[in-house]
Amino acid sequence: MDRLDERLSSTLEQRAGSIAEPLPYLADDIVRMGRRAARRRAWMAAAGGVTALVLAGVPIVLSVAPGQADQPAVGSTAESTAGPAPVVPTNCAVERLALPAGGARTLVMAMAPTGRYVVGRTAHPDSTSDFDLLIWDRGALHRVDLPGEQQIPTDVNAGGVVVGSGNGQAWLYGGGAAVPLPGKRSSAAAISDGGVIVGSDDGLPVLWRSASGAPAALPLPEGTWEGQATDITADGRTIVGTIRDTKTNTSHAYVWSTDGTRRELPLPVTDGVPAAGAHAAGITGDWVSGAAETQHTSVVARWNLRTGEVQTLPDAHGAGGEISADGWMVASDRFGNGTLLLSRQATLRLPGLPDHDDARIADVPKSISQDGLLIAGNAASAAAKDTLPVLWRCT
Amino acid sequence: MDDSAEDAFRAFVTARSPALLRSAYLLVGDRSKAEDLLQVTLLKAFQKWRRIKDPAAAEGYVRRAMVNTATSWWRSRPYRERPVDTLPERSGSDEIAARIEQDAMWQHLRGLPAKQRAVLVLRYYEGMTETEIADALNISRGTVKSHTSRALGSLRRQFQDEDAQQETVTL
Repeated sequence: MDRLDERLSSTLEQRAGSIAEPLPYLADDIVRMGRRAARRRAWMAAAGGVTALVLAGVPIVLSVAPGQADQPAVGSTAESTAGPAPVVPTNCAVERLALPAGGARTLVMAMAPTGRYVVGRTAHPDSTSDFDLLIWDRGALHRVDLPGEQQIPTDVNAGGVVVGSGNGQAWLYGGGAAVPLPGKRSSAAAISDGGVIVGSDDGLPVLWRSASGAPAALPLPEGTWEGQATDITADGRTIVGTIRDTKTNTSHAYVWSTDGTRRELPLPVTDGVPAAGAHAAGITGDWVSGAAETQHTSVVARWNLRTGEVQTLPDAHGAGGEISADGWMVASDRFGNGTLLLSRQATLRLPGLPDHDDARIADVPKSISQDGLLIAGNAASAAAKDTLPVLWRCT
Repeated sequence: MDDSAEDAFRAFVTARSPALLRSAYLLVGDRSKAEDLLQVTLLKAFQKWRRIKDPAAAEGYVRRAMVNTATSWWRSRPYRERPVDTLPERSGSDEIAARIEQDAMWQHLRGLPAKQRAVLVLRYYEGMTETEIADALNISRGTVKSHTSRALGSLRRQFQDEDAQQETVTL
């Protein structure tokens, strides 16, 4: 066994050893989840009646809902989407978001483009598999007991409508009610301000024009493909996703427009070598965030749909997927120690909490607002021995 | 499911979940995702429990399902998730250098494509043979070989670079 083999074995052993005993309720939860499977089918069957209530609050056309899309985040300087190119932020401050009672396994997952709503999840009391939905509306915390299991919110629009998935079931929460989205094995990734939802069903990229309508397949090139839509612009006009050629095993970043056009994004080129594949994760305006796959690893990438610019950011790792209207992204640095705001002109390091502990837990940015000045995420706290939900405000 | 089958399932979960969670953690690199992965796969096992019955077969089933789910998660959600992990509390002063090295190795492992990482975890942590890995991942032995050599190649290059840099510094 050579030195690398030994390093690998000892790293894996040591890391595995750092995982404490799991979840005291695990067996009970699994049994309960298994029993609930039949009831979940009943819930889906009954959903038709509930849907009508929800849709009253969710416009279903491919356009921005007036009065909903433009509510700015309180306390933020949210004017920058209009007018000339904004000043690059030079200073960001971190502030904690309210923690729910209990608070176990609380994670921020997404933020509305305006920054008004931040959504996350927290453990339901006495369960390891049931999560409550958290919605911070301008900082005020609301907690929702969702039906189902393993509920993970993935996006929230300017009107506060949340989409997410759990155990192969996409769902929508809006107007005070949760409904499952129709589909076989569905996953919701994003929702526009007009209420159009994108994601995947049965391994293929789809769009739901409303919470009650059947998923519509997004068109794919000739051949055998699988994939998913990963984001939709706030105005609902453009969708991005990743599609995979199952014959050649290669991934492609893909863009669909409501005018009917669709195209593959170019593969980023690093040091003269084109990437082996690409993923698209987020879109705002002309900017698309994602990743380029090299032979050995994957690196953060961004595309500009208008100018055709493609850029890879090898020092960044794991961008949260969202991108601002000016192409700013958030990511962890390459070694997971610290959070970076990647504007096009400069890279700014975001501060941790006062009791942050880089050696043990990493800060994780999840979402950036459309104006690029608000970042929601999870920041390490030595006192909490965990991450805590936070907001970074930049000026 | 009758009561005795359910009891057997509970006993299986209680006995094997610590080891399964550790494997899940190595596969996905994040505690919360590892818990989710374990729960999703245990639920699948519960639903097929009547056909599985034998606890040894159950463990094999869950491990295969975990690996396949972990690698398909990577396919379906490339950049929405980021690892959050906690290092162990124990670290004597003489262990600091080793810990730094392990951290660097871990970060590189986490940066690998999921299938390459899975192959390394199965080989170097689970101690599985090439044939067993091919079976677990439902790929050919040739593909196991190519994933392994790509993954080791990139780690080796990375660490040779760092070793070379360190030598320069100490000179």
